[in-house]
Amino acid sequence: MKSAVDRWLGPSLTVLALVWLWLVYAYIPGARFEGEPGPRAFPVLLGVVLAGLGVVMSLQALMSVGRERSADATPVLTGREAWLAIGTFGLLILYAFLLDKIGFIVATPVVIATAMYGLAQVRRWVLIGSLAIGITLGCWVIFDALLGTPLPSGSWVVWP
Amino acid sequence: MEALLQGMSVALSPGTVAAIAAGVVAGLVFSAIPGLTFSVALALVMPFTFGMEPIPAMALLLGVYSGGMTGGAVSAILLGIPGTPSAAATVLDGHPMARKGDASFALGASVIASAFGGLFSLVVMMLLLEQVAEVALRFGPAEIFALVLFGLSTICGLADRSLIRGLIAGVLGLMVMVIGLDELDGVGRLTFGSVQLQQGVNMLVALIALFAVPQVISTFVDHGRVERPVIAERVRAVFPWRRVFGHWWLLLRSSVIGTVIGAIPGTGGPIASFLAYDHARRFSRRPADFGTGTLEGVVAPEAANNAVMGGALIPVLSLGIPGDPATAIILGGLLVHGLQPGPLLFQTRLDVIYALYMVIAVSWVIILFIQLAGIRVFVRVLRVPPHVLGVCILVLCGIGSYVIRNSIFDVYLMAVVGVLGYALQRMRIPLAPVVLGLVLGPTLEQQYRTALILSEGSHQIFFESGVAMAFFALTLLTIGWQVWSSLRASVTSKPGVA
Amino acid sequence: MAMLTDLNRAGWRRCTTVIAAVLVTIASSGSAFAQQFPRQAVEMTVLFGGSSATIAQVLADAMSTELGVPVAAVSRTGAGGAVGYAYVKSRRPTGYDIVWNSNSISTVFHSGNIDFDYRTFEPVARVGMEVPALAVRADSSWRTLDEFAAAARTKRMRVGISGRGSFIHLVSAALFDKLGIDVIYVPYGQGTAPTELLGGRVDAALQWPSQFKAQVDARQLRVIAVTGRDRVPVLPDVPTAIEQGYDVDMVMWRGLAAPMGTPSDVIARLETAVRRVVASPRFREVSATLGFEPAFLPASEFGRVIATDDAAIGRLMAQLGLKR
Repeated sequence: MKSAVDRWLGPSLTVLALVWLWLVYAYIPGARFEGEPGPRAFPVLLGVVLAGLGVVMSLQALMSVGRERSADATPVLTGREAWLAIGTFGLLILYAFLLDKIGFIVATPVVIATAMYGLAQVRRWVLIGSLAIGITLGCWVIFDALLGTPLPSGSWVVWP
Repeated sequence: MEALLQGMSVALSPGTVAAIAAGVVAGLVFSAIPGLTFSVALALVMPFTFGMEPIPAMALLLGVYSGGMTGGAVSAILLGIPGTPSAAATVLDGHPMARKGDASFALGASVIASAFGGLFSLVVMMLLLEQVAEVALRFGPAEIFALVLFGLSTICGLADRSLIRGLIAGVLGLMVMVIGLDELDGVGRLTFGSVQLQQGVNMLVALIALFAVPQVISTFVDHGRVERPVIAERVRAVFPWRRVFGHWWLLLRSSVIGTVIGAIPGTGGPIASFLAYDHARRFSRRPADFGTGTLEGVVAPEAANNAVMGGALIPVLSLGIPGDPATAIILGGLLVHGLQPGPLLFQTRLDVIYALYMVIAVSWVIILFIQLAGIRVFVRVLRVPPHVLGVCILVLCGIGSYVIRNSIFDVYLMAVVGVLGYALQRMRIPLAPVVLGLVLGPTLEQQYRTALILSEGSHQIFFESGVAMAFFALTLLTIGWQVWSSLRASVTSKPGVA
Repeated sequence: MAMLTDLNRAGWRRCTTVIAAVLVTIASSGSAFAQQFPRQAVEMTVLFGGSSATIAQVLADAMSTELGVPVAAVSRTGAGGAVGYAYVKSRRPTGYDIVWNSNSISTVFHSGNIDFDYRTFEPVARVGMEVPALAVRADSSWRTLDEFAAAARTKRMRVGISGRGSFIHLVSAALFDKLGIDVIYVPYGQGTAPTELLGGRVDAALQWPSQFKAQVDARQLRVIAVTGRDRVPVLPDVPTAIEQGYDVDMVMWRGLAAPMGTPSDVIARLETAVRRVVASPRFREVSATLGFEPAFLPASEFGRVIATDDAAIGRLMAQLGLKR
């Protein structure tokens, strides 16, 4: 039942847990008053549990060497998947950046168009254009016009 | 009697009913958009009520509240993204139902279950207000800790194949919630001097990220590669009254869970719906079907999270003390209009109390109508090609994450958590336990620490409480049962593999 | 002043805004720059939820009628106010970004959670105060601070407060220091301390009067002291700590501030708007039910209050070992 992934996932989780524990001890102060858990106890507990679970997973994977099913031989991530994941991530980061700098009204259509073209591989310009404008307008009406909650206006933009 | 008539006449006046309807629509729209919850909606609608008469003002707020409680299920079922944290458990079976072509059935069932839960809690509020408030008062930190620990033990049930992966996922979820300013001691935890990190990872931002981003990436991956499954949407079952009420006993139990948990300060919708979901699975005759799109998996959490509303209003009305941010706004709305809820209000302004009850009842009727009529419209979303829908969801997630706290940082955070979620999913670490960890983590830790501060460090406080001990026993039973059955399963399945 | 508006207020207000803007432009063409100040929406950052957020919304609503442009109360909560302060600090000092501030600027600074202090902001005006109140259960025998202190010497009391390092914690520490007693501080989030007091898990709770009001009226709780110089209107029968012979005068002020560098004529325009709103009967009426005490102070005096308070809070936090 154990997959090939576990053989490296288990140890990496343990390493992650150890890094976590190091950070926790370095940066979170202990209890201020005697007898109470304080802000550090819970994070430490979590680190220890995760480290333990990582070890158990590694052991299970070791014991089942040579018994993998063929299904487990497929790679965890194909190149295409990795690219699309990175692309989506990059686009969201870009969106956050643009919202901050040039504001909702400009950033949203740009990001929608980019996503449609680059990620969804749509080449119908009418669809791209109408969606970009439609969603931007719709959101603006709901948030700004109807409810008066301000959407980001962009720090690079100086409104007249 | 006079008060009753007077209250009813105000509550049923055209102005009030219009306010309820406006509130319900606003609440539905808000909660259906991921990132906007009824708490945000209530805060935004609040200024509109300043100029209104007291009862229509409360009608607007309560309409938003109840509309906002139900709307979360719409996006949970159709898109697989919970519109509100309370609807996170609804995704688990609601979305698979939609994928099987039963979206309208699932939506119909969720609305009926929601209305049932909401009305049930209203009846409880009317008849047993004092008693439930009394029970809620007995839940101190030790008891709430035990309750939440029990909730966490349901991770075992959510870990679909491997118990160890479920536990890892749960711990990762708990870890995420450690980051930020510690509410009890006021010290930053793993914030590395950043003011932005001090606000921590907002639960809703994390939920949007974990549910939406991996799914959107998958639709992009599948686009053009995987033949798009033709979803033969069966609209016939929009009014599944009979099938929903076939589970009346489950509905009733879930509503009780929701009402009681709603009344306990410091808990709330997400905990109630996960507990209801888990107990439905445990007592089901076909527990293995859960997660593949069963009716019970939609009905139980929806009845519970809407029953939370009535429950949460109980301490507000009976004690004048709100238990969560949403009811704090409701309380503010009452106070702005010179109405101080609490025991005295029942003696001096009984008409107001009756009017409020009536308003809530009417709001559920309106919700039923709007939602059931709207289902045919909602399901059209599924006709949008997935990759186009994916782009829309992506942008909505960005806006949604921003609006929760008006923070650009949250948009960055959503991107990071979302991609991490995708990575976890690819490593076959289930995301549902991560969500449970996120939802329960802060309460779990805070109540534990507060309990020990109360007892000056003695764990005796947990053992002295009968309620806490009962929940500990249930937790042990749950874990024990799970370990035993997974051991038995691995023993019997071994010869079959290889 | 027509503060009462109806459902389509947003749209209506937009209309009047445009008209007002046109009129202002016509009237001010060639005249002083200050006349032009509110030309677009003003954003008021709100740092906390609860009753103070409701007051902020009421204030913002009334200020928009005063200024003729929408004033939006935008919630930026989290990290004890640090997030909101950091946001407003980062904005251009034009007067279009203001913050609904309070003593929390001093508590977050002295607890080391932000690296800038009250001097980063220009005071606009104080709007009012909230006065902490100490409550016990009505079935207890303590009616005065003296009786409470006497009982606390035989048995260590549990006192429910908000988070450690919060203003409420400081006030209670100052009060119990004056009483000469040592108590266990139990921090609660989300304003659950009154419930815990009712449930009997703590012996007393220090919170805002509005949180106790309902239970005081119902004779379930008894407030034995408030920590301001004067009694509070919500609980007129409750004597102050000073009246009872303990010199504690600590109240939470709330007001508006703008980023440092905001032009003084803009500040003056905002200040006038606040002055008018605070003087209006409707604002006083709403404040009373929300347990908020309107107490206008102009910018200069408000600045002095902030500075003296900051010094006092800094000293107190150092004393308690909370200063970092």
